[in-house]
Amino acid sequence: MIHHSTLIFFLSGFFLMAGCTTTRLEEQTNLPFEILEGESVVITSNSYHVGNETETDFLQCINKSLIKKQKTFNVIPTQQFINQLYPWFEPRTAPQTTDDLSSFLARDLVRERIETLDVKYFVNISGQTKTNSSSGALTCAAGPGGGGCFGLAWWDDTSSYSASIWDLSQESSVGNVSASVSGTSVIPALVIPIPILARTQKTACEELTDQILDFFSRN
Amino acid sequence: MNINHKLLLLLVVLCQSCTQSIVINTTVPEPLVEKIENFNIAVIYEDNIQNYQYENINSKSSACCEIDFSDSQLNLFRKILQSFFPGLIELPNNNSEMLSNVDLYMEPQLDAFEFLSPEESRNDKYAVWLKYKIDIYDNKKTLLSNWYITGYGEQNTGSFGVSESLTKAIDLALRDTGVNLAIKIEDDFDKLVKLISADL
Repeated sequence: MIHHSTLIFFLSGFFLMAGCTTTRLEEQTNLPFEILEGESVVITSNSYHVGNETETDFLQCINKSLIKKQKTFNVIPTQQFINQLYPWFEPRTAPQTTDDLSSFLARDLVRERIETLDVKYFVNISGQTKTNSSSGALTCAAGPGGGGCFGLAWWDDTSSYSASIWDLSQESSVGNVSASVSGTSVIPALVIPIPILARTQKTACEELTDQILDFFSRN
Repeated sequence: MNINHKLLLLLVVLCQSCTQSIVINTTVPEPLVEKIENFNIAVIYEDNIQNYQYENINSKSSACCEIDFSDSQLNLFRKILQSFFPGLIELPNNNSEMLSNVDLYMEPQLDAFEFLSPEESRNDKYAVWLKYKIDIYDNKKTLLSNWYITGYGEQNTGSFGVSESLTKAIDLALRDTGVNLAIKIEDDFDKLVKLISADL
């Protein structure tokens, strides 16, 4: 009886912890800056040519979240901006560091287009979601009389992202914010598998968006 | 052989004959480039630019194996070349006529198309390479230069389906070809002009 109680206690604790996330946020300001109402920012990311692994759906999440959460400045959707500047903001030609900004802006047509769009800042996102460890076992089987799964599997994810705010007029980074979210997901299965997922990437997206907004609002 | 074995065999045969096919419909945006005036360029597209169809029955890729480029390559070259050369003339590829008002003839052709699937490269992305050869002739149809233009694209499988990932990787490779073509024209067109001038 005691054994059963102990087992239930541990399993309950495990399932309660699963799906939870822990978050670490950091912020750094390098230079003074300001953003005025109606000015625009663009969410960017480094190219796969330099080994960047930031997921496309994470960038889309940041875009949507920034558009939804504020009305002070405009957020030009990344793909729309890339198309407006084609072929000078493609993976091969987009600036990868603030050192590249001067040569990028040296093209008259590029500078004119950016001025027309009133873009003042690039928010350069880097980072990715990684699965650190996984364990457990889950077995599924099906036969003429039906099917089902049995077992327990769990894994730890860490979504670690940072945003560097590039001021196009100063051609330098005015600050950085970052968010790192860790969590354990678990799938217990007794005939039917019940996934309890830690949505680390979604949480990181929300946290990083709040960090970016906080950064812009304090300067 | 009982009925279950027959059904299983039929299923296996049917699955073997299933071939995924992908149609590419890439459209590149209007390029942001300076026009080059006062040059009359004629372009002749080879067949493998106009409607290239890739088929690989031996591929290990799960995105196997028919890829129809439809008119994506043609649209790409048209968009880039017309943005640089407003008076671009397009000629059929069986043309042998010499036009008096043409300064340069360009003949683009697809030289190579390759891709790696996640299974082959043992990571979670599709990688695509394109290589084009552009033969450039003067108005007497003397070969002046060969330009080799490449394009590379990669796409994580991530939240996309297998076909969608490969389609996006090809889309990026075609856009990258447009980037390299634009850079090549900006960097090397002056050299062609000098060759024409020396020829006169």
